Amino acid sequence: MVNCLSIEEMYDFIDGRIKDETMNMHIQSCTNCSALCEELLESEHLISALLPPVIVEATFTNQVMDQLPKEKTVLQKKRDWRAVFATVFVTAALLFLIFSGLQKESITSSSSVSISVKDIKITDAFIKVTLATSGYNGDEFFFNESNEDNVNDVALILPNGERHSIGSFAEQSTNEITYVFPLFDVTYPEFKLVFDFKHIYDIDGQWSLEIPIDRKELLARTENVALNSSFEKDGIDVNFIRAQHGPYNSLFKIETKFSEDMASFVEQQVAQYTANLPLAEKDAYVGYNAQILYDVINEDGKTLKRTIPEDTISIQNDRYALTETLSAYPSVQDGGHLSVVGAKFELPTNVRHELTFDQLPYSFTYKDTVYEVKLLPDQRLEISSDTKTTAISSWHITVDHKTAWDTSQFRTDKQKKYTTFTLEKDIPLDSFILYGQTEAKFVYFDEAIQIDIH
Amino acid sequence: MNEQLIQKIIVGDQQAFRIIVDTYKQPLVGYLTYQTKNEELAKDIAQESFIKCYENLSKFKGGSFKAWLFRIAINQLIDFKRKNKEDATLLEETPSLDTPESVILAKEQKAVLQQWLKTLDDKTRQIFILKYASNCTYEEIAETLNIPLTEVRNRLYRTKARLRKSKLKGDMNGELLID
Repeated sequence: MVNCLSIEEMYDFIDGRIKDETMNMHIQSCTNCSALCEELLESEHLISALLPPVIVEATFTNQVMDQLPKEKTVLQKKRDWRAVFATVFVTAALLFLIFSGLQKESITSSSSVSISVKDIKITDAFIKVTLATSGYNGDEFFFNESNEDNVNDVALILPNGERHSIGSFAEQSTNEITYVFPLFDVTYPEFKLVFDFKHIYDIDGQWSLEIPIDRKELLARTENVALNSSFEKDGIDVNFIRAQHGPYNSLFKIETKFSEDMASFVEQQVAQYTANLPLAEKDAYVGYNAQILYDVINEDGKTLKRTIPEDTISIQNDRYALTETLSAYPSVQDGGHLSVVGAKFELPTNVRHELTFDQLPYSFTYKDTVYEVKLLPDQRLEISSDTKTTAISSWHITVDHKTAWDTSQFRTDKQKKYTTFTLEKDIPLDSFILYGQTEAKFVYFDEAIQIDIH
Repeated sequence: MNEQLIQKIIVGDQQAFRIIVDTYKQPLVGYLTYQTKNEELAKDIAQESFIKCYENLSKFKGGSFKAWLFRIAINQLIDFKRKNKEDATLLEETPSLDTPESVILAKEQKAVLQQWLKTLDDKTRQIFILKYASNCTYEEIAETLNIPLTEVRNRLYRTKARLRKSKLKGDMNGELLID
């Protein structure tokens, strides 16, 4: 028997915060509760009506996409591994070694806000520094996202005075900021971390602090293994550069790229497919991805679950190779291995169909598979093909050489694979070009490559 | 937000960011519109926020992605207000929002409710906007505004209880509703 609901409980019920079938049944059968529910629902509608949804046109998305920094892929070459560390951090966080005896002095500036070092933790893989502030009671974050990037500077300084910029990952709350510096590529036993802030919260000023780091002891317990083994098959190169086995983490650096022959082949393909196309259309033929396929296996031979099953490495068709630092695996510190089974990469295709909407439904064949293109209600266009034999993995649609789709969705059933595009609302349903941009190719090594984890 | 999608964007698949913009543009522009009372300005700030979000994507550390994006937008808004102090009137114009015709609401009642909305303190009003205009969960609101979940729940509950009480008494002149 369920008692009548309090108003508070009823609000939680309406908000979907309580999902209780017996409560639901009670409300339906109890006159008081159903009347209350109805009354509260009516006020909910009134409040919702006060704040009607704001309509945002499809062009908004294009405006944002057009304004994104174009040099992203270039930046990526330098910054990519930091993102990986951001995820590593969560699993490794419990294994910090507390490093004591470091100077923890307060630094004040001309303003009333002062910064002090609250905590420093250091492992073989990274340093975590928490700075605390006092004298500020506002609502802003320490490091305002809207600040100009170059106002606040954080760097690594070697004993010889050489200054290096260093990757970092900052996490912040109002009166604290925590930096995590990955150390995988930092080989120096001693250095200083230097923080130089000129604008924090919403205040201009000058805050400088230096933290000397001595990791000789940790380095002595950390083994560096030059892997330098390279495997090539069917145009994909996988190079194992270095492994680092410390008391807390095992880290690996792997480089994947197209072999010279494959890079030239991809370039030739693109050049050939785009030879007679106007410049504006050549954009549909850029950006090919490659992914290393690997498993992490622990001492007992058990394959560990990974949140991201494939580590993605972008390879552009300009022979662009990228190194990847694989995650740290504290859970396999008693032993185990990485088993790299192969790689998946994408090649350009020459599938390009100039169509009018009157021609739909339309079908064509590519490498023995039939692809069907049809128009669905609500400005949607669907491409379907056999699940097992489908080669083409990404599509593109343009009208007047501009991207004509707003969102795309994928689904697969037993027979077919479907890609559904929602077209831009304001485009004329007249003629368009459909591109099969890339096809996926899997390369499996004859034998999985094993890399031991200590 | 899907961790793999974010990873995909970080490693260079710029087009995948489109999914993020499409998913959050409506709630974000909605929130900013009610906060600035100026739809065009709201869209500009929303665009800047998405670009900021893209540039800082590698700093996203988990938790609610929606709340993270909204916090970036709130910072952008604060920044805008700071830079435009001399032009403060911009943010004080009457709302230019049209309620869709499909919403059937007696004019008088609507006017009274709108008056009621104005009487709410800033934080409570933000919570209402995030919940109703931007469809945020209690958890997302708490993370966005950096307040405990219970505060979100209590503020919503208390304010709605007061609204209900005055409605029952037929007294909707707003006086009873002021915090």
